Amino acid sequence: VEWVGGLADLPRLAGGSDVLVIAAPHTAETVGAVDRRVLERLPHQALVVNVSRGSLLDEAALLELLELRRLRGAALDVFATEPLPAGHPFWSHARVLVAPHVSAVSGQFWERETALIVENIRSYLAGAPLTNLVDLEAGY
Amino acid sequence: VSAPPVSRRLVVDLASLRAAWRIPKTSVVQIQNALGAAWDVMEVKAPAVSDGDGGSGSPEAISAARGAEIYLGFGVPSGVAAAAKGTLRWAHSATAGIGASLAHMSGSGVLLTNSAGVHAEPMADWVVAAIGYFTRGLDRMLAAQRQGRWAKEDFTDGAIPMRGRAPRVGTRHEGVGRPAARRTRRPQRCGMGRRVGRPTAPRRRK
Repeated sequence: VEWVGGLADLPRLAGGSDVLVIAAPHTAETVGAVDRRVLERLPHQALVVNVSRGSLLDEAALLELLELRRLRGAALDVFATEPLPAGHPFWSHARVLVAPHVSAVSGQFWERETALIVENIRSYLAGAPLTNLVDLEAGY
Repeated sequence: VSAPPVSRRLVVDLASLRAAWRIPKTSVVQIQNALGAAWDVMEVKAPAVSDGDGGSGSPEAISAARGAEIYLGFGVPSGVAAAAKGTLRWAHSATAGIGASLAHMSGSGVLLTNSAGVHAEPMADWVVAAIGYFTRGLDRMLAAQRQGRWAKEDFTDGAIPMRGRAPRVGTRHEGVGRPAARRTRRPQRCGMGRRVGRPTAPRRRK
């Protein structure tokens, strides 16, 4: 880890990244976090990858920067509107990889999921802390 | 004659129509075994909405939730939360996103867990593949293939830049050390650079 920062540090992060991967949860705080200002700080020919929620990313600004050839491409598994509407410019854009919100699909899902549930059942019965406890106030 | 012991109830509401998300019988058996004989495991057969953050709850799930102590589902449907009010102590979501459940779970006193870490590794694989797709020009190769064009010169004569070193990766996630951070480990194992996050407050059981 080179450094750790918060939302206010996103432009700094973008300025030093060849690839920006968005993996934050959708919360009131993160909606629209990757806006035009952040995208414009990315180096020439950088990539944007979104596996989080479409609501975090300014899709119009992304498209514009792709059209201007400021960005090399975008790999998007999530969109502001899903399914992605017919005729949306992302569908036919040569430098956009469109995926139908499937990056988490895996043949090993239930093996991992069941292990988590069983571990948490044992913790619950023992009165011990649960793994992956959501902070309802923070929203994730 | 002594009264039979009062059983505690866990509801499994994970009968997704999507094969990838539908709980297998073997998992239900493991859950029952972990709970022991004092528990009643009620498996909802009606389809559960596994897309997004879950739906509002099927009539069967809402009925099963009455008196339940633990609920396993795709998010916590509002109908389920209302039906189990007063008895529900813990709800687990088989999704990572729980945004749709927050409005009716906040202030309920119910523990809510999600599956963020479970999804981290396959998502990391996808991210690495997507980065390689662009940095090694696979998008351009696919376009040339569709045109039936042998595009060797595009790559050998420098018309299309091909990255020869690992890119610096900036990741926006929440919670250093939490499962979300696993998504950045795989790119790092591939030689890709940095990561950034935002510390989260310690998680406590209420």
